[in-house]
Amino acid sequence: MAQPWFESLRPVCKEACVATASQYSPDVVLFYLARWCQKKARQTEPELKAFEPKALRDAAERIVRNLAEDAVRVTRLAAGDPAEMTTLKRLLVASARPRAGEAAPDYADDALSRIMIVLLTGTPPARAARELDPGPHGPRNEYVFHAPFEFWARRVVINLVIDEARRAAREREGPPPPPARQDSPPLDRQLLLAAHDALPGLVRAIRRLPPRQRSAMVASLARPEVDELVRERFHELAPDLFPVPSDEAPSSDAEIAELLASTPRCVTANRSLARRKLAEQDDRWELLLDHLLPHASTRPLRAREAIDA
Amino acid sequence: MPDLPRTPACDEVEMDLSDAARIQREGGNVADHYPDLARHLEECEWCRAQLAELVKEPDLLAEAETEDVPSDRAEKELAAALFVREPAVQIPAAGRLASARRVAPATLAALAETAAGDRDEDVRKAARTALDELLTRLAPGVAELGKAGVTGTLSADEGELRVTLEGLPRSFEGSTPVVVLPGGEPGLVTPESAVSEGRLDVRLGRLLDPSAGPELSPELEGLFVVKPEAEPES
Repeated sequence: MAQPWFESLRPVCKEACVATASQYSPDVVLFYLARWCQKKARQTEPELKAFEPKALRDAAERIVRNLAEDAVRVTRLAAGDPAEMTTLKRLLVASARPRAGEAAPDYADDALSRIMIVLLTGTPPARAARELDPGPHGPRNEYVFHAPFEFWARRVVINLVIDEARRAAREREGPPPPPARQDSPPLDRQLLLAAHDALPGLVRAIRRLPPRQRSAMVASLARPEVDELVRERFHELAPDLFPVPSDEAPSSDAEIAELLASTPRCVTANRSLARRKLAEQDDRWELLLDHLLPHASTRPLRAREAIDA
Repeated sequence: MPDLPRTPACDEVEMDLSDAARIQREGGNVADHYPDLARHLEECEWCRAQLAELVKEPDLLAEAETEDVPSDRAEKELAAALFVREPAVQIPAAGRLASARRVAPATLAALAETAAGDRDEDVRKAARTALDELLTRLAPGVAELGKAGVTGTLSADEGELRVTLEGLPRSFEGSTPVVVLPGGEPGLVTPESAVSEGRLDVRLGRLLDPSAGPELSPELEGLFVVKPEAEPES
């Protein structure tokens, strides 16, 4: 019977365990090394000849070292330990603070969510050896002890903050909105129907958002700039979430912040995080939100701004 | 920071960034361990910015006050995981929820919605299995429309859709349960009054077409009712 593709990695795992007198069996290291190879190659059964032997040895040694340092913490998080999650959240807030300022807790909370989803659905060390039998598999972003856990976790939140900083910089530096946009051609019928069909699902997904993201997204979609028919439809679908459409509804992030007892920076952060989350769930929602909440560089001027410009 | 888009090259090396930060913080040379990453960093400001932030030591002393994460956070994240577009995440999430001793009505609603509407058949199956296990384990705190004598009658009153449930178990008497409409709006409903003589009246929202009569849609057919503190059978 043919050996599983990852069996040829076993000697290097054994060596790494023996070198450090690791408390973990080579099977555990083998699982994570196999997963690392899968993630690197983006294949379920990667061609191991494509990996330099030194790279595989280094990876195995790193996994053994990081298991020794981080396995206990990761196991507690994978079990849903609230105290361990609080400690992690504190680290994430501290990591986000330099660039995100007062919005740091919002980024940290979103990052915690992403990290926990990966850990709760991945394979903790206690199960790793068993999971070799059916063949190593797991979430695309699984933590496989290839880096110290703290660095891996912090990268999640830093990624979010830097992405937002780049987007905001793009908005500040973007060209002024072309006046012709207000007379832009109507959407074609098929697109309109697809958008109409996608709205109920979008509303349900908005309901599932964390509270601060949900509030920012709902307030943004209730702005007078959003097409009145769409706002009416949102209200019909979810009158408890979306208010009766009104031209007096808050429009700017400053006004929305006042309504939500927050700050403009937090409103922007939460809307951006919500938008990203929704876009990841359904491509139609991304298109819909791009149309309903265009980015500043392409947003049509409000009547007042148009007069003042 | 000038805008430079994230490129496929960023994706190629991103796995190495975390450990590269450790190496740099320990005074090592990234190029010795990750030559591809080192070359990429020369060209990519996005990845350089990430690395620079990662290398910094976070100031934990300044974050003495962090709100405690509530005990049900893990369950909420597992419910959220059901909607991530990746079966390798969704299926284990359903599996873990299936073995939970007790779950919130919102989690049952999430499983029901996934079971009915996910585009992947294996994910739908996993969610359905988890939901069935939970509904069985949580009985008698759960009542499903159309089962065990529970019936529902739709009506429309001034453009508002209502459902009247009858035949609810005795254990629901006097309680204000949560009504779950899998895949429908508003999803979860808390009725205005309590169950009385096995009967519960529920407002579901405005009829989208007031001229049409109330119709039993798939979402309504899958309706179930959960006592908020439903205890599992021992």
